[in-house]
Amino acid sequence: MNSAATSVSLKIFLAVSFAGMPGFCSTAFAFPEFVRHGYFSCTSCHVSPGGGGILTDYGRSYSAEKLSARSSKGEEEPLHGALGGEPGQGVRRWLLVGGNMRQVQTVSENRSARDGRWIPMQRDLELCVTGGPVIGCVTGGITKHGMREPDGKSHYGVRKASVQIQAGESWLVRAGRFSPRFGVMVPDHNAWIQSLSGRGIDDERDQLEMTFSSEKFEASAALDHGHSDKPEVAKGFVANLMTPLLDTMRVGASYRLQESEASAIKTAGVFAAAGIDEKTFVLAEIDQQSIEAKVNLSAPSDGASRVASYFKTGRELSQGVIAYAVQQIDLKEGGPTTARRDMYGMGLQLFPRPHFEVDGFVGKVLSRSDFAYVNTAWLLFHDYL
Amino acid sequence: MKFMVNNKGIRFLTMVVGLAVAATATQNGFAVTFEVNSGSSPVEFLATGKPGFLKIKGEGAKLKGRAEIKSGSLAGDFSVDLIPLKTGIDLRDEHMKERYLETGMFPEAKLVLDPVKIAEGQGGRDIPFTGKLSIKGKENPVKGNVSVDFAPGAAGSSGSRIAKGTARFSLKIADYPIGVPSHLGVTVADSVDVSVQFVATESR
Repeated sequence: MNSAATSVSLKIFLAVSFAGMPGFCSTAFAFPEFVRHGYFSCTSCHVSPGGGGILTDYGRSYSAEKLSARSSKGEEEPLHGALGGEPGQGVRRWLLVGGNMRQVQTVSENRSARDGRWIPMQRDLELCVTGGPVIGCVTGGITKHGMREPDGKSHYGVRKASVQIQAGESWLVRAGRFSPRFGVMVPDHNAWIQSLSGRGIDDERDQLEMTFSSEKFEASAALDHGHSDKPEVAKGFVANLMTPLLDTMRVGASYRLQESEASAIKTAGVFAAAGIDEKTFVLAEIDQQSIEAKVNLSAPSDGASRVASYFKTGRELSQGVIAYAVQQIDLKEGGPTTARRDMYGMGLQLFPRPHFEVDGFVGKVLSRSDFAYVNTAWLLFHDYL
Repeated sequence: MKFMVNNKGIRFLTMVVGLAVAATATQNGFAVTFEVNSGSSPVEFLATGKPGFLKIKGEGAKLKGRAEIKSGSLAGDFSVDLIPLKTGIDLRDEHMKERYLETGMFPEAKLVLDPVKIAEGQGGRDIPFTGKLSIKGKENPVKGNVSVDFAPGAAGSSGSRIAKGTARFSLKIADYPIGVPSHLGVTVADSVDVSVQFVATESR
């Protein structure tokens, strides 16, 4: 392969690999691995039933006591304490505030080229207003879409907005624009399953979602009405079912249908999150997607299928220091091409104090079609407000 | 015919003879007392927090007390020191002990075990029991299951038998003057499962 072609392929790899950066999905900063501490569902720590996003008072307390290496009293409070007040008192009885500042340095190289990027991924503020069983939330701010934006400029706007109503202990109804719930909901930056499950870049959708939670299982189903600003986005529905096994494990299955006039895309997946002990965890998901062309049966994508798997294991070395390893496979079959790529890597995630996260990752991606390796690494800096 | 008796055989014979003697003693109405080895008898609870159905595991407490076997029935008085209880989050522990259990005034929970029939000297699995549990001075009936095994004591322990087992029961928080435990919006469900692993040594 000549160097120009290699350089182009590296850029394609970068574009694909970092398309799912966490700043653009609602599961950013979610921790399905906390099932090792008995957290079956996300709603103890997060307002969103799908996890990620704005923290509850309990979630903030937890971040100080169990997530961060060190903390001083009140350090975990909203906006680094600028909001003031006590949890559940005064303005904090009805207002929850959060947000995310996130940037990443990426490096990728193959035998003939190297590419490094500094990506300011996210500058968001989040607000939730609560009144009894009703919570209204909005997320917006400055989001520079990096490689995806042709003009390369920052854009202001509201990315997510929803109203959710808790009906009794078990039922929750949510309407608005947010990311679909699918699978184990990993927040990992390069997880290839993200693009199958609809939680990649700019994948918030207009949805009406119902969730039923109990000690035995949690089920959610959502009507996906696409995106009001993007008529080309397919509509459909997504369903998610999970159940706990033992006290520190959950398993589940998901299904998603996206239908447009041109095609029907069906995605099914199974997943598991398990705590081996209080410090060690395993996350696993495998998704299968098939594409059926509706109007032109000889379309290149017709009959194509894709399988992506994700496996992550990690161990808390000491509080606030988590070492992990990731392995994933992406296999495309049918249609015009068959391709497989594998990723192996390891990383270190640090939470030195409440509000701060540093995550470093190094890995290799092997393209099976040409047996070419790409070395990849990234370093993420995150301040959650 | 030549009999070969190895160490295992001797231990087995000792156990059989010991159990037979104990069975005879208890059948004849002699009481045999077992003292709980507190250091080897952890008490844990498993509660559910809502929303999120998170599992809250409390551990660190130890069982104290003694049980008596008489005429094929096991009964006993036990207590649990609540002060060492921990759930993994310091602030939650502080609230649990200061606001709800008030361990400063009520440092112990007490359990009185009603006489329960057990197979003489052999113990058993999942034997139903009833008793009275007292928390913060309020006593309520409680019922559960206990599994217990008897074994001969280790060499040098004067032959005192060891009783090992597990007891499990559930309690309702609302039955006691605790209130509804809540920590930063996470509320503990009313039903709490308690498990006790115990080791007790026969006292002579």
